[in-house]
Amino acid sequence: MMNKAGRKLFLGLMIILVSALTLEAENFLHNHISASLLVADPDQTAELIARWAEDSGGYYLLKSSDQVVIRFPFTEIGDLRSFLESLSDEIVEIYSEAVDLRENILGIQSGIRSREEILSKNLSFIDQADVSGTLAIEKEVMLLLEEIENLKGRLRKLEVDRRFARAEIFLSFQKQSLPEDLSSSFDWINTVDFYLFMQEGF
Amino acid sequence: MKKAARFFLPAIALLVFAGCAVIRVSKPESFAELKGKGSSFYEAVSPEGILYRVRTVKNYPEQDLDFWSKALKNQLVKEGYALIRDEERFEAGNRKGALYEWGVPYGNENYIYLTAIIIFDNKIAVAEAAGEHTLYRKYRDSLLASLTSITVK
Repeated sequence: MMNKAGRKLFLGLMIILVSALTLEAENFLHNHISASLLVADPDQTAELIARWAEDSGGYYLLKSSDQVVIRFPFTEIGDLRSFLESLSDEIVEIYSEAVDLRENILGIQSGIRSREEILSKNLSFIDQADVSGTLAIEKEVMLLLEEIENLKGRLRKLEVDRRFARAEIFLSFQKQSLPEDLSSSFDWINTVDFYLFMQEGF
Repeated sequence: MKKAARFFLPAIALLVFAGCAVIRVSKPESFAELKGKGSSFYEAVSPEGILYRVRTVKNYPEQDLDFWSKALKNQLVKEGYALIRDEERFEAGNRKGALYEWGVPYGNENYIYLTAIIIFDNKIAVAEAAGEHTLYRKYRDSLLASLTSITVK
């Protein structure tokens, strides 16, 4: 037996779940984001972005010192923006675009349906056909099956594009100013100096 | 005068040598040692020229790792080094160490400068390494492994 508070919580969770599913079912846009960031450490930033994608239920396609390409649920687009802002002092540029996939998806779906109808008609003729007719139908069936598989593959890709946005993030080293030569109260700390270290070399 | 010098110099050298700390460090993988183990200075270099150096300084005024780690960080931040990786603690034998990584422009390239310290009672082992950032990444693990091997006697 559930008490009143429990029922409310359950109802709330159901509403969130249903609205999330509805949102996904209704989305026909493929979102694409491109951004250029100036960061202190591109390698570490690339690592963090890839981890963010995985934690958000997505994955990364490419991770290098100067570029990261990720796929992630389109519902996380807002979070990605704020995440990128937290990683970089300067976002050089960021733009997003969306392509409506509805027409493509509906076109492919109707293409599959019509080919499946033709396929079933062709199959129904096989019983009445002679040898040469059977061979011709078989050839036609093979062709239709190939086309249907091809269309189903394209449809699957579009379904993935609907669910997962794509982001290409370019990373550059943040322009750093040269450190100043300031004296410390502690003698040995004054000897810790990058330029001195490089100069002394070997 | 010369006679006195001839008498005192070896004695002074002996005293200086006796006061020197002996550093022992495992060579980072793929690096070449420039000065042998057992001296008070350890230097190694990668084939691409990534420099690695370990030396000792006097722990004066005698303080612990927290104090020196903060002092070093504050100074380098004040000088304008870009902190890439904040304090990372590690263990070298039974001693604790702290390392920082800094971003520094050098020529037209971006370098990473590693600074690490380990407290050995009245001595502080100071390790430094620097290299172009993509090359540094390649050797980072072997440098960190080497840091954990530092001992001072």
